[in-house]
Amino acid sequence: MIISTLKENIFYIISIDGDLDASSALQLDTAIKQALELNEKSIVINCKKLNYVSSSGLGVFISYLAEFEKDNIYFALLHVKDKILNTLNILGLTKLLHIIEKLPNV
Amino acid sequence: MFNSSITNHYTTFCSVQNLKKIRNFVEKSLLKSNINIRDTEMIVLAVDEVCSNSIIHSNSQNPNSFIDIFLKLKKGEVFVEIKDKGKEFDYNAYQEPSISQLIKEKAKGKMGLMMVRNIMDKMEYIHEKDLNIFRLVKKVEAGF
Repeated sequence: MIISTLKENIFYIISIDGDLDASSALQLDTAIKQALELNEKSIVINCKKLNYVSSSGLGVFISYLAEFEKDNIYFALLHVKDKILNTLNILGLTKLLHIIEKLPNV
Repeated sequence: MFNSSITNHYTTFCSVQNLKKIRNFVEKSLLKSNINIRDTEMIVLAVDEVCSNSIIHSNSQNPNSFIDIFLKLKKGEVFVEIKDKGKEFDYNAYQEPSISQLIKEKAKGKMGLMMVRNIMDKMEYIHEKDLNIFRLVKKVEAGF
């Protein structure tokens, strides 16, 4: 899995390319941690090239939700494929995670 | 129609770097048997979750330990058996957390078995002759 980051307008975009599983979840965790250290207030995960996610990857998202809410940080998943949505739906996570098809206008 | 009854076996050493190989084995075996993509993707995920737990928690990613995955298709059901010789899992003590509890705890784990239970029709764990054995069953449909 390859992770890249990009700042576009107010959005700190973390793009994931490949499979997000127990072998790679730590990379995502590090990227989100880094965004928070940079005091970013709008974090978007670009899932366009995300091919697979297991609970290890979803756990990273879940572990930050309380902090995002507390610090009023905008967090969204962008370009989520149907296959990934099916995985999110197993535990009803589509209701908890903000899923978007394009970046919001600012 | 499904292809005739299959039994496939894959063995690998306990490293999370091998999870993708395990997923590829499960995916290829099921698709070759004409099981639909949605069911295949779900079973791949369930097997990945059990194997991740076994590799990380039961075997501490010991490269000298091995994990075996058996797949069998019979009468419209996929049977999966996952075996390893790692530390016994205290299945009776396992209590499924709620998602809200995990959010509150800022937990990064604990969702794997929840996923498996939601995906598969049956899941059982036994510890027998020093082996951890997970058995999973799911009814599947043919076609794409």
